[in-house]
Amino acid sequence: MSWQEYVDVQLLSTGTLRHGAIIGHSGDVWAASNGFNIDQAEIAKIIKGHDDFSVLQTGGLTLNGMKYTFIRGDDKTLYMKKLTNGVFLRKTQQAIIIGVHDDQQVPEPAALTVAKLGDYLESVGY
Amino acid sequence: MSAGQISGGDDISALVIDTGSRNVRFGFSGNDTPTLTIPSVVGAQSSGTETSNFVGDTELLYPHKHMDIERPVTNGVIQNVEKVCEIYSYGLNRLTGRRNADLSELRVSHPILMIDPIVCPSAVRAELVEYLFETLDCPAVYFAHSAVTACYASARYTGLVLESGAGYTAAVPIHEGYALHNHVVSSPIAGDVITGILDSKLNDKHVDLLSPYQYFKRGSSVTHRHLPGITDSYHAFRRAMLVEDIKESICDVPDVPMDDSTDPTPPESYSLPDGSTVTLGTERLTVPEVLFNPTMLDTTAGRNNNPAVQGMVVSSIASCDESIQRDLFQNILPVGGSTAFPQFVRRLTSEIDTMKLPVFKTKVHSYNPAERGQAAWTGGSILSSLGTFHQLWLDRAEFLEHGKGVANTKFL
Repeated sequence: MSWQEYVDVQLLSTGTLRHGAIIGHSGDVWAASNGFNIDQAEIAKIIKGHDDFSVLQTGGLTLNGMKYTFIRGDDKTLYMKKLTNGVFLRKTQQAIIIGVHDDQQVPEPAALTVAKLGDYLESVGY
Repeated sequence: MSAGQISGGDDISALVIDTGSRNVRFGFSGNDTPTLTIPSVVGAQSSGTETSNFVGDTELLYPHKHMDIERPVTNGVIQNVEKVCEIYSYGLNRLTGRRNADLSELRVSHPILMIDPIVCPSAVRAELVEYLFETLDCPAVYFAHSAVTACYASARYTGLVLESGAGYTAAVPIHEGYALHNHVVSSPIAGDVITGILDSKLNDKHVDLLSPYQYFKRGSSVTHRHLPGITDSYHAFRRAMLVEDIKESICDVPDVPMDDSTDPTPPESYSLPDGSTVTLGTERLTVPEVLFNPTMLDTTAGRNNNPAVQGMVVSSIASCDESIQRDLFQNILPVGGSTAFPQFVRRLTSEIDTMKLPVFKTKVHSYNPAERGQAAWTGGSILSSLGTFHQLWLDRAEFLEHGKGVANTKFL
């Protein structure tokens, strides 16, 4: 499966996310859903933010024009939200999966979708 | 298939369970208050190789021989999942009116909302979810933290919840319905610590705290009764119940900082079950003062430099993103039994104001003191009866597909 298919099929076609993307730890975008623009400065914050939450806690994260506030994080997954929109950032061995939901979806199933793909990628070495 | 399709939406009444360090509250979604409140305690009586577990007021108030009192929940953390599930089975059996003699046959057909303390590790949820789906055959489950549901009970999605019950005190910032886990400040100084201090003061005054099983009373003469085989842990349990009642009846927090050297306060008296009275003066106020000034404690808890409640509120909010601090300062919500002292809200307000915060106005909101200990349960009842809520349950199909770890992933 190509990375674009991972985003379109494994993430978006579940109906639990509005946008999705997979980026590598060095900052390159492996795939992104249609219309999802992530700029390099925010990518750098995401990568650094997984190790140091304060990068995301002060000033938040702006993705695709929406500014998200840091809600919680552990060693693998971060969750940030703005009103009824939210973004899950799941770190795997070589990548970070980005799953965005808006007011048409709810966070809990979105969390499961991102976690499922993250666990799968880790099981195959990514 | 979403959980909503299986659970049927508004028609199915969910059960709401709030697990605390002192009591577990059980009830039906949509009700104002829990139907059943029982101690978070299991009385274990072993004879030979068999152990009987006694749960609930009726059994625990009877002085069974050789019954050791075990507390599966300490300082807000569920330490012993097997024992706490004994409490759940007993409570659910009574709640659903089945009166099964054999609790191992208990099956529950309602969805269950479990409320747990924010200081309880999320790994416990994975153990509990196995009990709920595999032992009880429950159709759907949701987990929420008590601070979040208490916030809903105050009709808010955002606020700084200061929860203080028996086992722990925590300042939990809630932002749009989500607890900011990384900004929680907690301390073990709460109701049980206050009870312990009061107990030692009563000991110093050589007050005999006799519970009904410990005396015979004829007219006005009281003779001690020594039942054989009663364990020390049982005596301590009954004594603590009495001291807790004294604390809840006549103690209060002072409206200004106070210690034992302050001018004496008008004393108040409490009538003990055996007819004698105990009178407390300044200790009425200096004992709960430990919430606002933990350095007064000369026990190990004090030496660990635990924060005072006003410090916990301010440092928790100060650690959050600047854009949300204003809303948090204006929505400080004390909940839990140990915040129900009559002057607590007034004292907390004046302490926070004295910390001279530059820009922010502070407002501490007073949730009905008589119900403050149940605020988390009431919020759970509200949450589980919202129409939009029914798509969020974790159902058995998802549990079978993802395994017990799903309890940690799905609930934020």
